[in-house]
Amino acid sequence: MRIHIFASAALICMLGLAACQPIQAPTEPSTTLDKPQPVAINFAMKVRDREARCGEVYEGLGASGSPVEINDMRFYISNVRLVNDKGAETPVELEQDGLWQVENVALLDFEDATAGCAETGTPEMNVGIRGIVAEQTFVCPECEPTAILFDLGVPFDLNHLDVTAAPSPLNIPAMWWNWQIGYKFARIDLKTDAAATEGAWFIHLGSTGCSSSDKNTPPEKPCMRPNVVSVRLDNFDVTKKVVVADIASLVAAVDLSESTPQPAGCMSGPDDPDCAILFPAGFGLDIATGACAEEGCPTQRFFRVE
Amino acid sequence: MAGAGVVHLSIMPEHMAHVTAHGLALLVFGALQIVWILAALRWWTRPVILMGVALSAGLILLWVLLYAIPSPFIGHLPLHARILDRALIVSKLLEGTAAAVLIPAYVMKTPSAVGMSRFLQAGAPIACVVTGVGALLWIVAATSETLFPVFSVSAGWPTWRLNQMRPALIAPAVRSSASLSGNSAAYDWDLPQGFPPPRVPEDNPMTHEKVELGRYLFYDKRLSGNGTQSCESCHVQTLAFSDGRRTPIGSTGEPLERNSQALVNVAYNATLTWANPGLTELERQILIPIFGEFPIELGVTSHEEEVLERFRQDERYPQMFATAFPDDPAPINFRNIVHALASFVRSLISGNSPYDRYVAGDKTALSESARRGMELFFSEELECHHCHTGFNFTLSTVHAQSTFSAAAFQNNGLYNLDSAGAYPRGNRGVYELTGKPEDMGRFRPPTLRNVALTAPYMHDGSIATLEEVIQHYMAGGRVIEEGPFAGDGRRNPYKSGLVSGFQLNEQEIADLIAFLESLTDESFVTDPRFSNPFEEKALDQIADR
Repeated sequence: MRIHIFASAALICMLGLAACQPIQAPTEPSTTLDKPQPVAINFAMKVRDREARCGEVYEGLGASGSPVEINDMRFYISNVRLVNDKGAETPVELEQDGLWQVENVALLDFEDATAGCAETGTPEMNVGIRGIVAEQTFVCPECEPTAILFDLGVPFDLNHLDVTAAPSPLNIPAMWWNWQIGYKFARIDLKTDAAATEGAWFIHLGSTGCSSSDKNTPPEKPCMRPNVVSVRLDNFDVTKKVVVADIASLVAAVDLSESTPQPAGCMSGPDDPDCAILFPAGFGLDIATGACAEEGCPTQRFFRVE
Repeated sequence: MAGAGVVHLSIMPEHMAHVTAHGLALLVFGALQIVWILAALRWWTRPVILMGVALSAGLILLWVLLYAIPSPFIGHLPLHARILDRALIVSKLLEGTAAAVLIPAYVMKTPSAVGMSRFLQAGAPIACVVTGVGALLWIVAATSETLFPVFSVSAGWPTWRLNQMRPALIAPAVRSSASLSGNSAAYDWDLPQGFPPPRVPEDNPMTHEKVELGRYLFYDKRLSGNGTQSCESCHVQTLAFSDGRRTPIGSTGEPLERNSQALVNVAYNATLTWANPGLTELERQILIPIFGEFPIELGVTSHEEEVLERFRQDERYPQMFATAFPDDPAPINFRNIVHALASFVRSLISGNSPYDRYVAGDKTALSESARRGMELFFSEELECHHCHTGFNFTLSTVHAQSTFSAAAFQNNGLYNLDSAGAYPRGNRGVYELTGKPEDMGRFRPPTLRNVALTAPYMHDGSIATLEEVIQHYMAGGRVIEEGPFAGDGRRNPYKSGLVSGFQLNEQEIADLIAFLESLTDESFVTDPRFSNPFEEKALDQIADR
């Protein structure tokens, strides 16, 4: 009888705990991780095999072989997952550090606000993400981690916040357009030999075709063209490999010596001639639909594994 | 306990919306409580009573632990619906009552139906006390929320419960480091909708007393070496605290190099003055006009004692300084003058323009023309918003919740003296401080709020009207044909890539100007709190309100 009582009491306590949970963490995913392990995934920004830095000039980029200086290089990624050779796919739950990572979104920032990057940049930099992942994903005895998956972009439900009030890192005005369009998923500002724009060649990736009454109002439905790049990189061992974002391969097919003004470079406009080649050849996106040109954006050339 | 069960059941759907498992747990929990009531009415035995105690007291214990144990989730909670907060409190009060009845019942060990009324008699007073105290605490908490906004929503503390209970239980330091410290009454910013709290230096917290003293000092010509100028001489309220001149003239007649900036929302400026990446605090910036000698502005240097003596001999100031700086035995000194001026300048918040009313939902606040201008302003063709972004229309913005630096400076193609990008000497922007070539001509983007009142424009006041400013950006820079400053600013190698030019027709230019004019905040330039306290006119305005 006594055991019975204790069992009941224990059961009730557990229920009580469960009932309290929503107060504490209503947005936490309900998945439970089996022996969660901390994981750090390193990124690098390069121009071919050289580290990308503010203030340096890189020769021979794009179809035009243009000299290029970088004035900004930042991007948001979200929905990071690791895959092992058994095909098991596990989400990386990002550490909520109050600075670079919030919910399932992280900002990677390779500019240090020196030289040309001083115009809009921040001295703070971030070259990796930190989180937890189920142990079996990459340390199980008989399986090998094989791939990393992530989205280049901010998911719709976090993409139309007020940048003034949004949690870090969604609080950077330079990475935000307005309520209607949301964030610049990637901001790669280049200075090239494009005469028509005094050398300006901007790459601002973000959603387009977002409907609301005006630019100060967030849309209620997802934008017509999300322009989120789903990235899958194989041969990725989290403990040994780095995800490299390569500006040279991103713009390899683009003539950087030409740019139509208004705007200079590609700011995701579906009818901007500067985006017409960059979107499919660089990001693997169909510029008309804002979806991957092929399922899973396999033709993106921005990211690789090293 | 039945009541608590009902509450749990009623808030279950809300939790189900978050995570199904939690909603289901509440469903089971609420149902179990009601089933227990039925069971207790049928079998009034000690095991059943114990289960009841565990149900009620256990839940309260867990609820308290929730606040006592630091949780990694607490920092990024979404805002809860108020009704949920209330329901949670109600259910816990009911649980407390139930536990208070059941614990004596269990202790007194008389498992009979006759005994039940006795347990209730013994438990009822305790239950009343628990409920009474709980209700009282709840009312105090709810009232203090409105009386003391500091308890309410602030960064990282999304609900009033968290604000009150967590600091009390686990982190008294959290609240003591907030704006309550050192002040008898927290300063009321009266912030416009959508404005975050400004960042304020820890050693100069805002108080109404300092702001008011700062207001007197701001308008007082005795704060210049020769008694001829005050801050107001170059910062006039009706012009949004700019001065309408191309460049100002100091108290001794010396001309200054740079246009007098409007004092609009400077509490949010990432850096101060036109081009100084290292100058981030008003307390340091204000030293420049007071003591600067190259050029002389207020010219207090070498008149320090004389100026302080004027204030010491005044009939009003000794009392005002003493009230504003109660811990300082000799409060009339330059540190306190600067702190009071900084507090007043920080209080100059403007966010009540037609544009703000439009954003807040009054769709009639903007004319058709201004609405078209707004779409142009935020378009990728014009690129205005890249540098003039956010609630304060400048990239150079920080506030209490900022996590990154925001020292932004751009070259907008005004000059190109030698085809290598040179600006006129003495006015070369950040380059004057760093000597780095790429900093040539880089200046901080100012806020565009009240911009229609702050002509002439640019760091040297060299563009007279808003229309000419727009034409400057349409051309992607300025060409000066002849004279010492001749050159093609459009070809300045250090010019921002975002100043690349665009085309507008006459109507579109008019629309854009209409939008910029909609950023004028009439209440700001007529606010008696910011007006000259030495003028009777200003006092009459206060009386009229």
